[in-house]
Amino acid sequence: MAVKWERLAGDTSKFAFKLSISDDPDQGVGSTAEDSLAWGGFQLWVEEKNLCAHHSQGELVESVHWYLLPLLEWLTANWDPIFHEERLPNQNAEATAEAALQRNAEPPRFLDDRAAAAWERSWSEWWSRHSIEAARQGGVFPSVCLRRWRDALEISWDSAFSPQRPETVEFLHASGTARIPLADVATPLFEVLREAAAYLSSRTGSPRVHELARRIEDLRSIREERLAWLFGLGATFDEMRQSLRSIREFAALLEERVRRVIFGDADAASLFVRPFPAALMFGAVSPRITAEDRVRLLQWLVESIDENEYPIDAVAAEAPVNVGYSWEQGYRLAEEFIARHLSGAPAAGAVDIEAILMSLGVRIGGIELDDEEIRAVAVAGPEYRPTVLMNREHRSNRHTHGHRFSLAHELCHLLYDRAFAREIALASGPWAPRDVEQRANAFAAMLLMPPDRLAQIVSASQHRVGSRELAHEVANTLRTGYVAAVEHMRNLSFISDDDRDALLEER
Amino acid sequence: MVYEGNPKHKEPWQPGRRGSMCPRSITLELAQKLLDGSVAAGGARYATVEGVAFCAREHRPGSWHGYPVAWREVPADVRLAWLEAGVVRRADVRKNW
Repeated sequence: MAVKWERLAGDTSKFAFKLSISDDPDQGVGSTAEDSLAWGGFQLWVEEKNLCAHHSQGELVESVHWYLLPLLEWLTANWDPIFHEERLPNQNAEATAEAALQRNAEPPRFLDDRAAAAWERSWSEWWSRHSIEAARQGGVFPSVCLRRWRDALEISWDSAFSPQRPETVEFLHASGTARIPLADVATPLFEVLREAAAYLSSRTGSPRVHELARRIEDLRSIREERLAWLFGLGATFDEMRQSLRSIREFAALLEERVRRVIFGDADAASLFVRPFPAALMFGAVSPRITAEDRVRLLQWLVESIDENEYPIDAVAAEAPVNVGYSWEQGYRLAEEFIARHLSGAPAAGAVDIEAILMSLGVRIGGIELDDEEIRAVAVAGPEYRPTVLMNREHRSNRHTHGHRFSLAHELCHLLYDRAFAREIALASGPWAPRDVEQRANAFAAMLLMPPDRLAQIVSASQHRVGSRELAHEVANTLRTGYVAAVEHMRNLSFISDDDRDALLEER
Repeated sequence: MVYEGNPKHKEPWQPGRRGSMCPRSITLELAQKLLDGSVAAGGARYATVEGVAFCAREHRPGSWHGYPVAWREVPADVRLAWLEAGVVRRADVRKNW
């Protein structure tokens, strides 16, 4: 089948999009004239994997072939949520969008009918904005989700989940996730969209095609909607826009210089809005955060502006979270940190986490938030004093061991979770990226309970390994929580799964 | 509304050039019946039979073609209304999600 037009844009080792247009093999039967005109194939390349490659009846096929106009229209219509909406629907259930959609598909059984229906609607609306399945209109597409993730574009896929996939079709790449710098996805995607629309417009006077071309050009204009999606503070888009308005009202009271530090070049014309501290912070809080909490957090962000350099800024390193292995990675990062920075510290007793933070120039502050589920907020960057702000209303922070764990957890964020421009403003809680939080929890556990100190306590103890008394002795000596101590001892193989289960049961 | 199928949803298959396949049990007559009883939503029409959902799209004024869809592709309001009315069971939705 002769290809009439083709374009590949991007770098297949990161992200590339290929579109080709050829003659409709059924010559327009059962399709609109425009759909038939735009018959062809597409390929989505992610880190050297062509997500569209599949076996069909024993033959390897590199592209998905179908009517492409709905796909082009879907990408254009959903450009803003794809590149700006990070928050998952209903619940931050999994680390990736594809996994979360599968996990969250059914409402929890305890919801009443009305709440369950709202759950399903929210799920469907989010799915229709982010899953390319929503554009298939009968074609056999891989199941791929596109969404903003911090300062990257997350692409997650699960070929087994592809809707109405015939048994004779098998996509080559089973499942996976990639997080790619925004520009590396937006630029090639836009190029292909624009050129495809220009080609199709040259072939037809169809208002539908010409309107698509116009909307694609419009993607480069400044759009308030993008900020609303980016902050995502609301259950519906209208609520998000309303929240954005109140944030703008707050911002209008700030000096220009301060506003620029907090909001970056949020209004610059581009294909997407770059990450900036306020968006990074609010992107990880509940969509139902109160207006009062929004103001408290913004005020605190303003108060953190500081152009001095602090020791932690030199120590902070790039460490993209390893999806699926975040816990192991957290352990490893903690061990490396201990080896590099704590070799001279006393080798017994509780780790002095506050002294560590102070030596790195990190300020520890407190705040009372209405949202009791936000544990703490970490902020740092070239224009900020590195700070950990502890929410006094979080139940963990009311106890010494919980407070210490929170500090160690936030230290991980300050060291390893800096985004574009080496800035971080992250609220730790149920809406923060799950794998980032898991890694920070593992880091905290390992930092506060290093294996050599644990081994010392176990060997010197009068109590049997696996006993409740020993678990309490570990927790008290290292000044951590009982549950954290038990889980950590199991992870380091000091105790078995059965011991762990029994210890958690007995407490 | 007249049902007029799209060959791409029928066998025999041309590797890589076909869409979701309509079950053989969906005859032209049944397809027309489904279309007549379908519900409009979002520019398309939806129907169900034996726990499977179908979507129809108009390709020419008055002429429609259809194909099977996963339940997650059915607009939430349509799906919820059918569940409430007992037109489809939750078990079928889960099976063909």
